[in-house]
Amino acid sequence: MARSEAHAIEAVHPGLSGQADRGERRLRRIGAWLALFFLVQGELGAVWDREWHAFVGRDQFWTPPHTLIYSCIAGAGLVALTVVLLDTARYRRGMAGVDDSSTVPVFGLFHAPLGFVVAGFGGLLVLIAAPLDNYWHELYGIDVALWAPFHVMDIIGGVVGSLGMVQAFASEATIDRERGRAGWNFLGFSALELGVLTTLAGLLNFALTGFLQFPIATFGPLDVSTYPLPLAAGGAFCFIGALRFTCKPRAATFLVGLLLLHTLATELFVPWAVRTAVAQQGMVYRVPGHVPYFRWDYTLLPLLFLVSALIVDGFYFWKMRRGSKPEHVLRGWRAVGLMGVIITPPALLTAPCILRTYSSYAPVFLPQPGLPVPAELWIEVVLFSVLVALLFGAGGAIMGAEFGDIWRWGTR
Amino acid sequence: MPGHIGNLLKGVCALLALVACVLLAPGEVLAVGMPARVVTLAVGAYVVDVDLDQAQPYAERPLTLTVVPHDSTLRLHGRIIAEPGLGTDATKLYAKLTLQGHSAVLVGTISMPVRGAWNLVIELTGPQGQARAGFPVTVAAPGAMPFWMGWVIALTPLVAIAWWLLWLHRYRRSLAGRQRG
Repeated sequence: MARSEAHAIEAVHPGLSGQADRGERRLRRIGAWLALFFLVQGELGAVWDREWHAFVGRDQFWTPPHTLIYSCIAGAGLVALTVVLLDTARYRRGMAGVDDSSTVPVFGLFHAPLGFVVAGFGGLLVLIAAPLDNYWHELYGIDVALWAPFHVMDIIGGVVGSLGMVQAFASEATIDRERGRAGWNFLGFSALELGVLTTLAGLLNFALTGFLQFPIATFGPLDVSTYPLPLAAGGAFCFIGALRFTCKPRAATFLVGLLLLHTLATELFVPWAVRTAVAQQGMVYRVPGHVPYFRWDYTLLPLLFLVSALIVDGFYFWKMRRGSKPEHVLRGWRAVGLMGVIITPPALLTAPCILRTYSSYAPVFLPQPGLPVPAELWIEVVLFSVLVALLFGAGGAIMGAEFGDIWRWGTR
Repeated sequence: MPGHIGNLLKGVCALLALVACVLLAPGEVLAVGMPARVVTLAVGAYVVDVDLDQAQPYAERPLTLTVVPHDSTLRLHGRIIAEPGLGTDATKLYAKLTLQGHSAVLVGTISMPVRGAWNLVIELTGPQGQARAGFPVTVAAPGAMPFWMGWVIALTPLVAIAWWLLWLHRYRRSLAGRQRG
């Protein structure tokens, strides 16, 4: 960490030095870790729900996975609400560490850390979507696709909430860094940085959860699975964001390792949970004998990002070996976008190979059986699809850089 | 970078507004004089377009299917079979496809009484024998909120998110300015 950066922040946030704000630090950090616990719970619940639909069906609103998901949303929402209310009160009392440089005003009424405000907004969206989703199922049946309106509202809320949690960890990490505090670390990452990276891995795991059920685009007799798009955007966003935040050229690869832990935990938990809940409730499977079990192909799915992560980390490492400061690597939206374009193809070429035994959508381009597909249509659709995927990769990288800078510098 | 990002974010906002406008236009309005939905199927050796007069079928409301063979010299006959999908408590339904005038076009109407997932199967018989192929539809409850309205409600938070992204962009610029200072 450059000393000049530390001095710059100290100059802007003079109230952040010293030990007077220890209570505030403790409040925000406990809140962030609790919210991360609920995020992991929500991840397990989301995949469990997807598998429950596939293997059992949706017999009622309070299915076991829904209970897990909504208890997690309620928990995370309450944590965010508590921090917002407590910090508003502390702001009004003028307590140390709670001022305009460390909070954002909301409706002129509340003053709270940005991360918890955003996380609370995400939780609120999911809670609003829940009854509407139930209503939608009543109107259209139990098997509406994942990409039904209020499922999408749920997903938007989940993504926003996760980004809020990243911000909550990142602002605390920035404060520690600016004060030169070097506490416990693992592979050079402080505990709060690990919180950021674990939350980003959770966000990427959400992209994996829904990716195979992304809508199919139809071009005459040729269907195109759009699951590569969230993978391209999500991977580029998280890798670039993680590197911009940590400035450590191993963050992207480490993120892939964390994502592997997430998918391993998911595969260890979800098939077991489906089987146990079905047995305990005396239910039957939709297709007799079609029972979920641990699968290596889903567990190893994060490896599709490995080459992309190594490219980004390698580029940072190479630039630093040539004397660049990590803060100055990959500056400018063209450079960042180009990096997004470069790291997208390895992920998209690897994904179908890993998924070939897992899903019939794996090959991406799916000619309808029995229908001839003209060569010109193949060329046009493939070129168009590749272009769109690269744009998603570039867009994800640019957004990742934008967010990564805020996570690196922001103390709100 | 900041100026370009600002333009990019404005572009994203404009794109979101455009998507919202498209979603706000109900399917019926977009489909004046045209089928609401077209599905191309290979029914064995017969390649046909199946035109639906409703993009979103409703329970108990007749759904008209027009089957247009790509080879207009074919003279086919056949029927529509509505098979309940997973989770839909109903039985199979059948409706006859009849030739429209002297053309090769077949028309049939079917009414599905239960909301939920259904598979519409087209069974055709012609010079190259009998074959069948199907596609899924989701039947809505009578009087259900239309899809487009659901999407408008569900995507409303994007307005707040677009504002938040713009706010973040300005916040980043101020942070970057302090870094340079």
